[in-house]
Amino acid sequence: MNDRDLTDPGEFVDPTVHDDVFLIHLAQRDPSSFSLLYRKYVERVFRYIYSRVGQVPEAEDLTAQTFLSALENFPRFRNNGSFAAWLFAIARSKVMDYFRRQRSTPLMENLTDSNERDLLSEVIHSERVATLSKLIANLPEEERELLRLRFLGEMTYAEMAQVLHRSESAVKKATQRTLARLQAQMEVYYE
Amino acid sequence: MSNHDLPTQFEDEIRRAFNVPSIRSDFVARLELDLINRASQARPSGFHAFRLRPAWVLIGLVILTIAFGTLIFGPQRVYAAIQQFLGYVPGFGLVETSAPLRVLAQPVSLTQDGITVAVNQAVLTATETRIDYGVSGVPLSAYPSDERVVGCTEPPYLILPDGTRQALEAPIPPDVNEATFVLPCIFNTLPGRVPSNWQLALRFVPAPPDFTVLPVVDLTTPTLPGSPTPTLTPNSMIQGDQSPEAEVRVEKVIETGDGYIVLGTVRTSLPAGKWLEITAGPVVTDARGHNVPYAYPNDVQPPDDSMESGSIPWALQFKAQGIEFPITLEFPSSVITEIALPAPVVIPLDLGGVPQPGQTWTLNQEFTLDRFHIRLVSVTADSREGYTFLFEANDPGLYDLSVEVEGASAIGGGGGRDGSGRIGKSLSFTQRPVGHLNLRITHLWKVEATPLLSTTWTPSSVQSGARDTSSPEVCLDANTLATLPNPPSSLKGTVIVSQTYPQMQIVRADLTVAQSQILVQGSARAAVSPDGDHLAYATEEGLVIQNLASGETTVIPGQFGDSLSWSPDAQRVAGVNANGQYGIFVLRLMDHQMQQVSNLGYESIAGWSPDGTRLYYTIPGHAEGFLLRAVDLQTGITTDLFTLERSSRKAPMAVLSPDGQWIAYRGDDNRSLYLKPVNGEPARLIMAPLGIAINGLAWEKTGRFLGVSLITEEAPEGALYLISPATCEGYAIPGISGALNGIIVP
Repeated sequence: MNDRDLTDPGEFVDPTVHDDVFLIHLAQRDPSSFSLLYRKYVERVFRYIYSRVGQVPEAEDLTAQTFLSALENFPRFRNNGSFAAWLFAIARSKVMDYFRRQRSTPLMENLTDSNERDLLSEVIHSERVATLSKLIANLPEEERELLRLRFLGEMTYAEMAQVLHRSESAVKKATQRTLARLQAQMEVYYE
Repeated sequence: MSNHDLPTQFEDEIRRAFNVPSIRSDFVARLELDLINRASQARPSGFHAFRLRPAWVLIGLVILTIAFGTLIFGPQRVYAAIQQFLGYVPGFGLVETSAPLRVLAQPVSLTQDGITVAVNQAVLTATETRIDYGVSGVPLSAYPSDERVVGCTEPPYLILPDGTRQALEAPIPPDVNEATFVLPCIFNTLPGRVPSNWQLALRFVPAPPDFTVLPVVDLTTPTLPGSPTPTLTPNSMIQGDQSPEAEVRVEKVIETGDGYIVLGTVRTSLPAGKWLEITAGPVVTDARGHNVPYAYPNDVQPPDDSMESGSIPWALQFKAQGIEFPITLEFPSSVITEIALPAPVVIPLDLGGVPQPGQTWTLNQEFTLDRFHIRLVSVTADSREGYTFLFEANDPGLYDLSVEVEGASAIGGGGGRDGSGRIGKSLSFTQRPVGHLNLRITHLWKVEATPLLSTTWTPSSVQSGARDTSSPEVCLDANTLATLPNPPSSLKGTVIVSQTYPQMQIVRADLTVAQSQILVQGSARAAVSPDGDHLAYATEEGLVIQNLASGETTVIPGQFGDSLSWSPDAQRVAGVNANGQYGIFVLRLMDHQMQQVSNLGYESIAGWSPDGTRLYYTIPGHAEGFLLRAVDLQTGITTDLFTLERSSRKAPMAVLSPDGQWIAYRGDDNRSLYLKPVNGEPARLIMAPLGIAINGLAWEKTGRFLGVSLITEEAPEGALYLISPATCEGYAIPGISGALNGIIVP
C-alpha cells in the first residue's frame, strides 16, 4: 500500500503494447521496481557514455548520475514515449554537462585519443577492428553518435529518432549511409 | 536491431571498434543498491513539475514535446491534391507524401481464448510502413509473476506474398498490396500461457479520397511556383520580441480543422561559456491575455533540422475556438554564464590521515567570489576514493562552481545544484588524497533570467468557427477555472481525498469551509459508500470498512487490490485482484463471500448499475481509447459496450453516474474530462485540458455534481472542483488538496 503512485490512480497500460511498458508500469506502482529498468539498461548506458568520455571512472560517474536523475524524474515520464529514448536523452545531457565542466568540448579528441591509446595497447583488438576503430574515429561527430546509439545503446531507429529529434526515416537513412560507407572503406583496406 | 541488412559480424566489429570495456559488476551492484535505497524513500507523487533543476526541465520539455499528451482528432478535412512532400495523418504523424499513400482496406482482428489481436490501420508511404495494431484481453496471469523474469519479446513482422519477411516499418513495394502480419507472441507473456504465432492477412488499397492527410505548411521555405496556395502565409507568422542571443521560431503549421499544430524551435547563438536552459513549459496566451490550453502532440516529430547545435524543438497543439489571435508563446528560460576567476580561491583543509568513507567534516568556511558570498558547509569522504564538497550561497544566482584539489589529479567527478539551492561537488581519485589539502575553486557559473523569450503567431485565415468565442459544451476551461467561486454555504457536504504528503493518508474536508480531518494514516484510495456512511480501503492486513460517524473499523482479512467500488445498496464491495488472484471480485460484506466475475487483472471498475445487477469496468482497448465492458453478476456474461473515445491511454478513471446513464472519464491528454451517455452516443468534452493531470473523479450521489481533482503546479496533490454537467455550474473547493475519492452530500 505504501508505494502506490497516487498521482495517477488506476493507471494502466496494456503491457502488450510496447516494450518496457510492463516494467514501467511496475516502477510507477513501486519505485523500487525501477531497478528492473536499471538492470535492463545500465550496460547500454555505460557503453554509450564510455564511448563519449573514454574513461571508466567518468563513465561510471555519469552512468550513476544518469540513473539517479532518471529515478528522480521518473514520475514525469509518460508511458507513451520510449523509455530508452528518454533515458538516453538524459545520458546525452549528462555527457554534455560533463564536457561543459571541462571548459571545452573535446568529444572527438577524447574519443580519438582514447581509441588510439587502446590501439597501441593492442590488447583485444584484431587488426580489422583496429582499422574500423580508426575509421569510426574519423567520422563526423553526428555520424559517430548514430553508431553509438545504435550499436552501444542498442536502440531502435524510432528510439534514436526521439533522442536526436529527427524523423525515424532520416535517422535510419543516415545510419545506413554511414554503415555503407564504413563497409566500403573496409573493403578497400581488405581487398 | 533487426531492421537493417548488415551482416552480424560487421555489427559486432563496430561494437568492438568502440573498445568499450565491460562494466564492473561491483559498480552495477552498488549503484543498484543506491537506486533501491533512494527509490524506497521516494514520495510516490512526483508532480512538482518545473521545480526541478533547470537542466532537467530542458530535457523534460523536449521529451514532453515528444512523449506527452495525445492527439485531438480534427474533423474530416480532405486535401485531395497534396503536392507538398510532407503531410500529417492524425494518429500516425508526419508522413512523406511524394508518392500516393496506401492504407489498410479494412481493419482485421483475430480472437482466440478471449484475446484479440487487431490491426486497426496502416499507412504505407514510399519510405516506410506504419501499422497500428493492438492486443486486448490478455489476463495478467499470462505475464511473469517474478519481476525479474521477462517473457517473450519477439517483435511482430510482415511476410509478403513472395515469402519475403520484413520488419514492420520497412516500406512495402508499390506493386505489393497484400501482406501477412505476424505476431510471434504477445509481448512479455510466458510460453504456453496464451496463444502464439498470430497471423492476420492484410490488404492495402490506395488511400480513399476521404482519408485525412493534412498539409504541413513550412513557414521557412518559399512557396514553389505552381504549388497549391497554402492556407497560411509564410513569414507573416514569424514576428515577436526576440532576445539577441536566442529566438523562438514557428517553423511549421498544421491546420487540424478545429485548431492548429505548430512546430518550431528555440534557437540560440550564445557565445562560448554561455548556454540557454528552458526552465518551464511554454506559456501560450491570446490577444486578450487569456491562457490558451495546449497539448503536446505525441505523433508529431520535431523538425528534421533540429539536430543542429543549440536548437530545441517543440510542438504544440491547440484548438482555435475562443482564441483571439495573435497568440504569444513564451518560453521561460535562463542563461548560464561561466565566470573565469582572476585567480583561484584556495581553501586549506585538514582531512586527517585515514579518512573513512562516510566521514564528514563540518567546516562552514565562508569566502566571497565575484558577487557571491559562499560557504563551504562540509566535506564528506565517499566510497570511491574521493570527496564530496557541499556549498551554500547567499544568492540563488550561483549556478555551479568548479573545484579541484591542488596537486591531485581527479579521475572523475560531478554534482551540481540541488533543489534547495545547495551545490554538491564530488571528486574521485585513483588514490584518495589525505592530510592537509588545498581546495581550489577556479570557475563559477551564474544563472541569469533572459529577456523574454517569446514570439507571436497569427494564422493568415482563422479557421471556421474559431472566432466563435462561446463554448456552450465545455463547462470548464483555463479562463473559467480561475474565476470559479467556492461552493455556497447552502451546499452542505464533505469530500474524501487521498494525500501523499507529508504522509499517505485519507482526509475528509468540508465542501465550503477550509476545514479537514485526517481519517486514516498509512493508507489511501478509499471508496465511499453510496449512503456516505462508510469507507472501504485496502491495507496490508485486509480490506478495512470504516464507519465514518464513529470511526469504528472492521478488517476483512486478505489481500485486496485497487479500484474498490460499493454496490448501490452498500452490501457489497467490488475490487480488482484479491488474495493473489487476478480479476474483479465482489465481496459480500455480511458473510465475506467472494464472487469472481472477470480474470484479467487490470480492469478498472467504473461503477454499478443502479439495481446492482451489473458491474461496469474499463480495459485497455484499441487505438481510440479504453473499452467499457459490463458484466452481469447473475450470469457472468460480459458485454463489450463501446470505446470511450479520446480516453486516456494510461487510465481513463471512468466513473458511472449514480443513475447509470452517464460515464465520465479522463481524456487522452490526461487533463481533460469527457462525459458520454451510456447508450453509446458521442462523448462531450466538459472540461478543456487544464493543469497537469486529473487524478480523481467521483460523482455526488444525486448525480448533480461531478467532482474532479486536478494536479497543477500549485497543487501537486490535486486541486478540487465540482462541476454540474447539466448546467456547467462549477465551484472550487477551498483549503484542501488531494486525489478525490468521493463526495458525501447529506
